[in-house]
Formats: sequence, structure tokens, C-alpha cells
Amino acid sequence: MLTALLGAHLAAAAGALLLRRHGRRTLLLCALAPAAVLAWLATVLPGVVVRHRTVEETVAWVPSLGLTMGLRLDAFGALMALLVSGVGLLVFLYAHSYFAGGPADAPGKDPVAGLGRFAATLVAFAGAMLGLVVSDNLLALFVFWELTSITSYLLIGHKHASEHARAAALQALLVTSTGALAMLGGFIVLAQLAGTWSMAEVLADPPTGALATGAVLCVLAGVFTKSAQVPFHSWLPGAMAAPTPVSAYLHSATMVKAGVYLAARFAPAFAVATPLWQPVVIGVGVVTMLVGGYRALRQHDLKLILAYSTISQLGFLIALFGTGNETATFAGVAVLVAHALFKATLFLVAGIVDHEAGTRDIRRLSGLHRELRPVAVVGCVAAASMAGLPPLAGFVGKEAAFSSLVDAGDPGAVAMLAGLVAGSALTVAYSFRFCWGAFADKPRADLAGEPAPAHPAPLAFWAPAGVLAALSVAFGLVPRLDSPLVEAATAALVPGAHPHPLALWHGFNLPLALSGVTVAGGLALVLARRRVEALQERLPSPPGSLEGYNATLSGLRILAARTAAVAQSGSLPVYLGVILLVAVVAPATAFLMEGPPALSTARFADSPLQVVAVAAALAAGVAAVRSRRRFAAVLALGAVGYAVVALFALHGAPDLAFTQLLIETLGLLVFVLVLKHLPERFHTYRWRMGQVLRIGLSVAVGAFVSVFALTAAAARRVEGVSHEYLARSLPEANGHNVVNVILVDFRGLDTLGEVTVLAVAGLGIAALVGAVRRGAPAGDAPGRPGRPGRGGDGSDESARAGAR
Amino acid sequence: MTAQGDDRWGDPRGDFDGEGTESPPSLILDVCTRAVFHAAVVFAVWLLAAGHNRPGGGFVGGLTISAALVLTYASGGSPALRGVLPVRPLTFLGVGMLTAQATAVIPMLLGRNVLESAAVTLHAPLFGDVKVATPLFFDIGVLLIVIGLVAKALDTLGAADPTAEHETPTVSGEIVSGGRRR
Repeated sequence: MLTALLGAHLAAAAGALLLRRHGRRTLLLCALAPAAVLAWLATVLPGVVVRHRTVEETVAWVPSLGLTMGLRLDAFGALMALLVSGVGLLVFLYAHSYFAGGPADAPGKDPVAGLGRFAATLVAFAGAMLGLVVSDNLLALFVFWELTSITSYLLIGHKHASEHARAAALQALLVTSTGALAMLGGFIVLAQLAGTWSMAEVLADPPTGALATGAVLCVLAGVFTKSAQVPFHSWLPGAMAAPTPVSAYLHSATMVKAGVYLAARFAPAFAVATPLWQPVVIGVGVVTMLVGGYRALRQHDLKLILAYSTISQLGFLIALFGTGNETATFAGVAVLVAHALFKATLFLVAGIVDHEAGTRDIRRLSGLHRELRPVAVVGCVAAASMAGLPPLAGFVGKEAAFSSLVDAGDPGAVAMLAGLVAGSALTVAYSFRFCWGAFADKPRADLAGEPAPAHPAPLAFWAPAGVLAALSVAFGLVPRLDSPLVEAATAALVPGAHPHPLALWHGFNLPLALSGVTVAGGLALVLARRRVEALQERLPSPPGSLEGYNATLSGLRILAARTAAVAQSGSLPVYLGVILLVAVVAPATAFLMEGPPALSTARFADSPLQVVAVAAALAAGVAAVRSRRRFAAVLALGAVGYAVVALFALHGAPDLAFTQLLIETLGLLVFVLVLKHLPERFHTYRWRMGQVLRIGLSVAVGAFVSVFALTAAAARRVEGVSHEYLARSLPEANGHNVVNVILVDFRGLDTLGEVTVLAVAGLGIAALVGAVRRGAPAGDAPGRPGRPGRGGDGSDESARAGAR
Repeated sequence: MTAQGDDRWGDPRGDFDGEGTESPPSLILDVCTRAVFHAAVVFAVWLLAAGHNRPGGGFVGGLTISAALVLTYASGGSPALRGVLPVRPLTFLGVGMLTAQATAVIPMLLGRNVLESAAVTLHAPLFGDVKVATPLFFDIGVLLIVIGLVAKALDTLGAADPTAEHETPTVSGEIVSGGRRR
């Protein structure tokens, strides 16, 4: 069934592409896929949650390599699948309204068809994300992980006419997939150490030792890049170039949680066993929470406030799951659910504001709570949940987190608690900044220019956000609604866990006091808003993640350019010299290391004709070297080749002889064609270093090839394959000519590779010559004689040629 | 003359000997080429068909036709080459790749190994029993690729060369199809 559901996503994507002329309606078609997943989850959820069952399926993937794709749905997977499909369904419904009335985010000329592509990519993402959270095979997990990166790339770059969007998309792809490559390396090492590709089996009996530690750190690189942790976080604000439904779905509720998901899976097994795990993961998480919160306070774009707040909250989650113990994991799951609910809501609200007011800049928004009253209520409820105010889901999750750390009580936990309290105070401040920025009546001092007018939003537009906000309230007021699922998910992560149910009210205790501290701290930050902003302006901003990314890219470019300048000098004699030198030195080294080679017993000749052919070849060779005229030299070279043809024929190799004959002829003809462009005579060399080197190299090549030919026949140690080929040629390949049978059958795959190289070479010739011609200065471009006013700038010309 | 002369390959706009003084195409060469061309094609087809049991094969067949193409090009330049090619060189390449890959992949789809061969014996009226093995199709692909590569190289490099410019007024990297197509 899981497989079928994954297939449904693919089918929906294909359908959306086929029906792309229908524009917005394809979004509703695509909504069917997550709806189907929700319906199926409803049937299996009781078994998974109450009886801790797992749904397992095995799909033969590449059976000949022993690869099977294990799908496994446990309670945590079910929770993630619920989020992916639930939020997905709402986002599709929301996008249907979002793209109504003017293609605000249309990518180009054909907004309607662009929407079909958008819907297809989005539903493909939903399928990939679902696959990610139900994969048990580590390789399958990696594949789905990369699929989410690629669909994210396409969705961020949806407005592909915008250079900014393209750069942001590329950055997201490069950062996340670089981390994913490290993660793949870690997976491979772990799987080899554990002897299985099944994640459940690896985690049940985690490998230990230095190699395992390195592998786990590699996996963490994937986790940190995907979940936008410091110092890799800068791609996430850039990803806000995507249309808002994408930001709500991928970059807050689901995709960025993939790293959190993996950390949650791995932590119980590796947090204690791997020495570096806890300091690295918890440290990175807490620092990310603080950096994200600090940066969110200086943003003016609603979506950027949310992006940095997402970074901050992801840090919170990573830190909680990073501990790997039962109570913190339990709190982590609760916060994960709460965050998905409120953050998706907030993004949807930001999109509505953007859509109805035409801007997301809080310096141009004022008094929107009048026009957008229901939206403002929804947004403020979600922001309150984010700030951790009672009685909302965010509060319940944060209380659970604080109490787990208070209970632990060791110095590490206290330090982490201090970080999280400070981070939560920042959270309160930026939650307020969002609400105030989007909806409040603002004094002149806080505005830049006239406030933008806004229209009321239709019910269908804000209803999805309303549903999510209502869930935030419901899970806060009655935590028993989602507590069983959170408990079961914790038990699925930490074996043998029996956490206490979530509760809204624990009595007057330290966690509640800490909540009070965070709210007070947040309010202080809010009240001192202007002073905080001024302080942030004055403080030197530390070298950011974006600068690091740009420096890495330009460094790579410089490295590539320098390498190419050294390796590709552009001189044919140098290339040829290097090739020949390697051809002599590498095998000769092997010769020297093996000791003096045994010479095969050489006969003088089998027939007088062979003597004649060799004599002819020698004479022609001498003539080629002695000749002063290019044409004569080419003819003499050809004569050498034809003499070799005669030798092959005399040895009884008609196929070889024939091929050599044709190649020789073809080579001669091509030479003749080229010769008319070359000087008639060779240069007269003086004795110089270059000349000496050439002669030395030529002699070395000749001597080496002779020795090689004499010894190669004696070097055979096992029976040759030729007898077997001869015996099998007719019965198995239906051919009498064993040479051709080897080419097209026994070694047919080699031939396939070779002809592919030929075809690529053909395309390469066309592309290179085309590029040279387009880049050629004016007057040299064939076929456009007498075109006036062209300078040396070929790119201008090619641009015009392309436009025609 | 300087020592750098050997590197002329890298500079397509060097001062070539004979630029502007190109002799008109040789009538003898032209006639000979016309005489040889079709014989070469027939010979190549024979090589192709016989290849599985006697000397020959797709690569050799392709080379034979290629040699004929080079001759054609030498006698009449790009226009003559286009005159004898029924489709564009890249089409040869593409169809050849498709054919070769299909012979490799189709057995896989049928549950066999890559490139696994099979043979059918046909009873053709004039030829008697003809045994056709699937590698023949692979060889056809190879032949087409070889032809495509050589034709593409001749056409592109020829069009890039300044002396051929006068004969090929409207080339933009691709052959405008030969007379047969219209």
C-alpha cells in the first residue's frame, strides 16, 4: 500500500503535467495524493499508535544486486507522514487560492502552464518526502533525500526569470546535496560495519569505534545542511524566493525537518555511544537557535522573519533530539508537531498578507488587522503558539522540553537549558515582531513611506491556515488529543520508553517559572525594540554563512581555472609528448620493478613476403622522417600503414587487416584535406633543446615498444581466452567470424561504450566548432557577409543569432 | 618560417598557404568519386551483412562508406557531401545510437542479459536460407554512428574553414538538407 501511495504521487505529478493547460485546477488534482495518504493513515494509525505495530513492505529494487527497498512505517514515521500529507493537503488547497487572480508568482510568459509544472513538482516533492520518512533502506532514504533537494531546487527557482531566485535555488541545492554526499559516505560506512542496509537493524545494534564515529559525523553533515544549522543556514532565507506555499510546506513544515528526522532516528543509538555526538549536535542546535532568533529580530520582510525563526526553531529541535534520552526526545516530538502547525500557519498568513497588500515589508504594512481581521486572529494565535504562550501547543511542547532538562539536572543540561531559555526569549520577541509587523497600527516612526492598502481575503484563502491554527489551540487545550501519537512516536525512537502524557498544567514548578522568564525577557526585547535594532546596527555582524558560501564557490572557480591553465596548455606537441611519455614511463616502471623480463622465442620470419613488407615499412618510415615536404611525409606514413596491413594479412587476420586498411585510407584522405591549410614544407630546425627532447622521446618510444613486443608473448601466465571464444562463437552467438562475435556479442558492452564515445565526439566537434565560430570576430562568421556595425564582441552577435 | 608553425592547428585564422588560390575541383576526381561512391556503399552493405560469419562488420562497413564520403568531400566540398547524404549527420548519430542501445536494452526487457543475441533463419526466395542474428542490428547502429561521426566532422570542420566559406553561404552549424529531401 505504501508503494501504491508513492506511485499515486508520481501519477498525480504526471497528470498535472499532462493537464498543465488547466492551470490552477491541477493543484486540486494533486491534492488527491496527500488526501489518499491521509485516508490510508487513518486506517492504520490505531494499530500503529496503540499496539505499536509497524507496517512493513519490501519492494525488489535491483534484485540482481541484492538491493531491496524496505519501507517501514512505525509511529514516528506515521507522525511525520501525517504532517507531510496533512500540511501538504492544506497547502495545495491554499495554493489554489494563492495563485488566483493574477499570477503574482508566475514564472514567465505562460503562467497557466507554469502552474501545472509547479503543481507537478510540489506533489513530486510530497511523494519524495513521504518516501523519506517511510524508508528503512539507507540507500532508498538517501535517494528520497536527494529527490526532496532536487524538487526543492525546482520550486525555489519557480520564478526562473529572476536571477535572484535561480541563485537561491542553486545555493540550496549545492549546500544540501554536498551535505547529502557526506551523509551517503557515512551511510555506506555504517552499513558496511553493521552488515546491513536496513536503518532499523543498524540502529538496533549500532557499530562503534573510530570509523563509526567518523561515519556518524558525516551523517551529521547531511543533517545540519538539510536542516539549515549554523554554519550552513544561509540557504534557507534565500529559499524564500520560492512562492509562499512552497515556503510553508518545504521550508518550514517538512523538508527542513528531514535533518531533524534523521537526527531523531540516530540519536538514541549514537548519542551516548559516539563520543562527539552530544557536544556537536547540542552545541550546533543551541547556537543555531540563538543566531536564528537574533537575526530574525532585524528582518523587515515577513517571510525572512519567519525564515530565521524557522532556523532558530530547527536548532531547538536538533538540540532536543540530540540528547537522545527519553524525556528530551518526547519533548522534541511534541515541539516538532507544534512547530509544523504554527510555522505552516504563519507562512500561509504571510502569503495572504503579501497577496492582499502587495508587500511583505513590515515598514509598509499598517492597520491590516481591520481589513484582514480573521487572518490577523489566525496569525496571532499561531505566533502565540510559537512564542510558547498557554494554552497552545507550542507552550505544551516547550514546557515538556524545559522539564526534561530540569529533571536531568547535570551541568551539560543546565548549560543547554540556559541556551534554550535565552533562545525562547528571542522567540517571544520575534513572534511579537511578526504579529505587530503584519497587522498592527504603527506610528509614523516605524514606517517607510505610505502604508499599502489591502483587500479582505476570501474564506477559502485563509481556511487552511485557520484549520492549522485551530489544531494549535486544540492540541494546547486538550493535549490528550495528540499525546498518544507523540508517546508512541517516542517509544518508536527510544526503545522501551514510556513517557508521561503531555499536559497543559503541571502545577507551579521550575519549568513554569522559566516560561515566565522567557516571556518577560521577550517582552523586554519588544519594549526596547528600537534600542535593540540600533544596537544590532552598531555591532559588527560576524562573517556570515552566505559569505562563506560565496567564498567557497569563487575559490573553486579559481582552482578550476588554474588547473585548466596548467593541464590544458593548448600546444599539441606538449599534449602528444605527455601522452607518449606516460605510455613509456608507466609500463617501463613496472618492467623495472619486476626485474628483467623474459624474452619470448622470436623467429626471424615465417615467409619471405613478411620480410618484404617489413622492409617496405622501414623504408617508408625513414622516408617519412627524412622528408622535407609535408605531403611526401604523409604519403610515406601511409605507406608504413599499408605495409602493416600486409603484415596483418600475411598473419591471417583479415578483419584486422581490413580495418587497418580503411583507417589508413581515411587518415590519408583527411590529411590531404588538411594539408592545403598547412605550409608546404616543414621548418628547418636548428639543434635545440626541444629538438633533442623530441628525438629522445621518439627513440624511447620505439625502444620500449620493441621490448614490449618481444616480452609480451612470453609474459602470459594463464590460458588465453581465445580458445574459449573460438569454441563458443558459433553455438552461443551464431557467428562464424569470431572477431566480429567478440565485438558485437562477447565484448558487446565495450563496443557499446566505444560507439557512445564516438557519438559524443561527434556532438563535441559540432559544439566546439560552433562555439569557436560564434565567438569569432566580425567578418569571420560565415554566411553573414557585409553585416554592418559589428565590433569584436561575438557574444552580441550570437545573442542576436539566437533571437532569430 | 618560425618554430611556432607546428601549433597552427590551434589557430584557425592563421595565414594559410593557398588561401584564395585554391584550384577548382578536379574533374577527374569528381568523375572517379561518382563512379566509386555507390560501389563503396554496396560493398559496405555486403560487409555489414556478411560480418558475422566472414571478415567485415559494422565498423568496417562504416569506415568504407566514410572513405567514400571523404572522397566526395575532397572532390566537391560541403555541397557535394550534402548532396549524397539523405539526412543530417547528427541524425545518423542519433539513429545509430538508438539502434545500438535498443539491441542492448531489448533483451533486458525480455528478461535476458544485456546484448544477448538470438538468431532467426528466414527462407527468402532468391537467397535461400538466410540466418539473421540480432547482432546485425547492433552492427547497423555501429555503422550509422561511424558514418555520422565522419560526416559531421567533415561538414563542421569544412564549414569552419575560411576557404570553404564561399561555397557554403547559409550554414549555421547544421546541414541544410540535401536536394533529395525537397
